Amino acid sequence: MGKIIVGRYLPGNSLIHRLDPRAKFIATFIFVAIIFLANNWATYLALGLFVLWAVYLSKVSLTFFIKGVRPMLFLILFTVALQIFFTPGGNPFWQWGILSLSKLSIINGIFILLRFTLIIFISTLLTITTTPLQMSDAIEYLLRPLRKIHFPVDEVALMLSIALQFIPLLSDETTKIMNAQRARGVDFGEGNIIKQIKAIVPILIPLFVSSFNIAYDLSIAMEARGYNGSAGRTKYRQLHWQKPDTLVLTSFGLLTIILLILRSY
Amino acid sequence: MKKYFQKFTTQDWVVNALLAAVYVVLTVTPPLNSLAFGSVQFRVSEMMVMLPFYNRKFIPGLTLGCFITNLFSPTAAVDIFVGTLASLLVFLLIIHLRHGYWVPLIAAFINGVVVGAEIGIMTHMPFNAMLLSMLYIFIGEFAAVFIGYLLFTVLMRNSQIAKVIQKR
Repeated sequence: MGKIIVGRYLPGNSLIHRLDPRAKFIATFIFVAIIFLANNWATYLALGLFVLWAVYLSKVSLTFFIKGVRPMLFLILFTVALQIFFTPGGNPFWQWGILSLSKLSIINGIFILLRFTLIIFISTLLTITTTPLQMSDAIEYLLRPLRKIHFPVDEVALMLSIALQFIPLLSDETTKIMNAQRARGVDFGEGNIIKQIKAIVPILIPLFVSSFNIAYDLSIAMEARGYNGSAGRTKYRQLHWQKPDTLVLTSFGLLTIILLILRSY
Repeated sequence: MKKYFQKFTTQDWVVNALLAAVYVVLTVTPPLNSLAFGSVQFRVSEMMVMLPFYNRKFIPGLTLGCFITNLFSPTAAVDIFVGTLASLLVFLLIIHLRHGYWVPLIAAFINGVVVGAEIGIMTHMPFNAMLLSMLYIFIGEFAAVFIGYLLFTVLMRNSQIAKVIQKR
């Protein structure tokens, strides 16, 4: 059990690790919004330095961030190539049919590469320094305004924490089921597509049935202990908004202003 | 929304939580997370998109599963919003269908348009290129959910499965 680490959390005690998860969430989304303000070298330089500084503060090795880029590499190169070859305009110094190369399109391609990398770095920074449970607490808090439209925020938070707890358990269960079916002669991931699909059925049925059974037992156990809807429940883990959290959000505000200024140059 | 959630019992919430976990597990367990069919690869978990069609009470669980899966994504910051909303939109549409064979088409169309536009806007693609990436996503998603459709048509013949899925 526990082979799968839920999320990509790396334990640590850096400034970024200790930030309130709500602050990290809000900051990440601000970042994704303001990255679209970048339109020239100066703005990208500012964003890049800011992200590298945040990475340095997290005391997590840069290799973890670069690893995050790898699965996306194909998509990135594909879109960058599209951008470079298919952007019309500029002064093309090479042209072949609809393909053209110009200084403008190459610069645009590099900007896109940078934007992608920055989004990946900031996403990695969030998931690597925040445990899934902290994230679920933050999400619960940030969703609170939706209560006004009768969105069941507490129940969703409960679901989130149950799901996170059961992922390793069900993953274990899946491995067990697969081994049991292998012992009965099922080959996974081999043969043509029809065979591969047929091999999934003997995993899905036991997995569904056992997870439904777990759910029935768990809900009975919860109700036997007096669970009666989430209204009025108190919390075991409390979130504390502290000075560094305010500072982080202020620094993002400053970054936005800097970008707005650099942008017009 | 109030009316929809009113009928949810504790058991329903827990079942949804477990389904979210199953979705995540199917996405991350190695031989299951990518069935290869030539160069088109797809996730087994995408087949679960069929579930809300059989029982609309499964919408929260699958949306949550999608959300948790997106937390693993390298571009999590954008995906947890866009990807989750796209799935939710798909679920909200398919519960009104009468025939299951529309589900792959709708799921593929919405995911193709929304995620394709996400990538397009994120990378400032020209419009033609954006259409191309939408098409690429459409094909992958369609294949996955279509197989899900076939699979669930078979699975629902199993009385045990049909009982747990359609009950309540």
